[in-house]
Amino acid sequence: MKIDRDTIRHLERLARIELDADEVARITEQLDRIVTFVEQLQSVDTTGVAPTGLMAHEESARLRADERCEGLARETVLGQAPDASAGFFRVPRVIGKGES
Amino acid sequence: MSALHALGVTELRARLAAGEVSPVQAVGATLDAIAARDAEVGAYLEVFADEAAARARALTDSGACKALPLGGVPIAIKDNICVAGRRTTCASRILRDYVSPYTATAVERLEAAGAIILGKTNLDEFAMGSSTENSALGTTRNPWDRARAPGGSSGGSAAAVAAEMAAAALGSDTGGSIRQPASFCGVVGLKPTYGRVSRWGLVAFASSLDQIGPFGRRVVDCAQALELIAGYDERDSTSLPEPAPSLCEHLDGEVSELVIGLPREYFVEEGVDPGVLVRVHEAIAVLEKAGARFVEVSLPHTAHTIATYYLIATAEASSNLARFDGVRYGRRAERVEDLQELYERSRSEGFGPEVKRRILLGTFVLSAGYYDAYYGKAQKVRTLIRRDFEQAFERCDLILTPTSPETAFTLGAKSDDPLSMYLSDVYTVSANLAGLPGLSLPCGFSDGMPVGLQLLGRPLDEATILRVGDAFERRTAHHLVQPPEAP
Repeated sequence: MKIDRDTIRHLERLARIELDADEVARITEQLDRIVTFVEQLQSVDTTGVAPTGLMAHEESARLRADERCEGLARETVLGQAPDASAGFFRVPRVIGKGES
Repeated sequence: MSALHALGVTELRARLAAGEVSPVQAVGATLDAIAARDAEVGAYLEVFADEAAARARALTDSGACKALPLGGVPIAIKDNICVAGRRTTCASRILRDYVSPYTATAVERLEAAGAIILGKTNLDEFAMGSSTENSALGTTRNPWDRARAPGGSSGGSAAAVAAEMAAAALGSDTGGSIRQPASFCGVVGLKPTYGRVSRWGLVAFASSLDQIGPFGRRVVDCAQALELIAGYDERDSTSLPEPAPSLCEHLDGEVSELVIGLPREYFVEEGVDPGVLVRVHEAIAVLEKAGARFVEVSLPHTAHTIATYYLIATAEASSNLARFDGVRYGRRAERVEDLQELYERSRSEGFGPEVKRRILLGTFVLSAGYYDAYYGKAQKVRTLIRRDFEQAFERCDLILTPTSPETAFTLGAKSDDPLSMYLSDVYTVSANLAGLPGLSLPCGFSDGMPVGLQLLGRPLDEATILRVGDAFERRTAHHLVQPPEAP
């Protein structure tokens, strides 16, 4: 898989990260080298091998009882927000300039 | 008699418990060392000088210090681990002013044991890196040679312990981020079994790999710290249900009944500093003389560990770091017109180059059309890597390797070449992929720079690697050599 500038532009949209022209050039070249490197895994025979997602103890992880318990106070949480008012996080308009 | 700030945890505690030294003296000496040295080293992002002194005073006055296992012991915390009311920056612009509303379980347990938190240490941004050079908030220098990197990502914690600016420290290890800087800075670093220590209050990087662990100047100090921070935590559902292990009592200096595996794939000459191999072979000779038996084992998928690691770690990072959106906490871009632009600009301005690179790579390997070929494939190879270790541990009780193929490199030497930086993690990432405990401890010097010896254990068997590490330490003097004072 060749990583080119179009791939990077697509990934920028998916990841909500905007790169400037210099960054695009540099990251395209770097990611292409890294992806070429990781493609060595295609040579490994994994027929019939199950993927490792969770470690054994996590597969039987316990959920706590579904009971009310203390959380962080609303003022504490909103106190970290760049913009908040009347008990809500505040953001600029959601329907904007025509982003996909 | 060593200065107070130069003592290890156990030695310092012996004097505190005997009443020869007060917490005010112990903490004061360490704060003085920070004031004298940290301008040169840059280990700390923030020092809680007043609060640490006040807590030491309270502990001295209350008389509670003697009975507490870490009473009066000054400890540093990597700045991706939360302390309530303090900034947790992850060395990132996006969290530069973020104040944590709660304290990490591991820190809470240390404080309950009487430890005094000195401050927060530097790291590669979001723990992504192997040199601490990816910090957006400062440069940390290796106490042995200030032109060199301390390793990473927990470079600040390793440098603080090495430069005697903390008796011990906490770090986090996702692919070697405790063991490699421990190796570069000539201290002991322990990455516990996956799930051993609660991650409540650790900012997530790659959730199937991350683990909190201690740094110390002695193996026994790391053993004691792990005893105190380990154990199930209902706030982290991935923490192991097993009770905290008792470790210190097994440190008896004996290794005679143990079989130590040497993976043939790790002892190749290509790509390894010959000075590192010489020291590791000397360490093998020490343990052999002490009665340990060595066998060659094979980890056939070693050549694929770096690729597997970087696929899994970046995929998980891209998902974990999606939470930094400029809405609920962290830095928000100014003068944006709509929500999309707010996300894009906040993230683009807030993250540094390595974090962006990893998020984009992780996004790629999880994206439609590529998921199975990259991420899915890596998860399967991860299974094969785990099996390699399971099979090796049928023939041995623990595995011995170098921690890193090299000693600390010069600052800037790898900054423009991310792939070469990734390749330096070759000996450490497998423990994270397989969920194993790993210990790095000093085993001598190559051209004046510390070399680290890595011991890998079976899952949950920190006891054996600590026992062997301690037995090695008792027979050698490498850990007694101190870094040169600043000119």
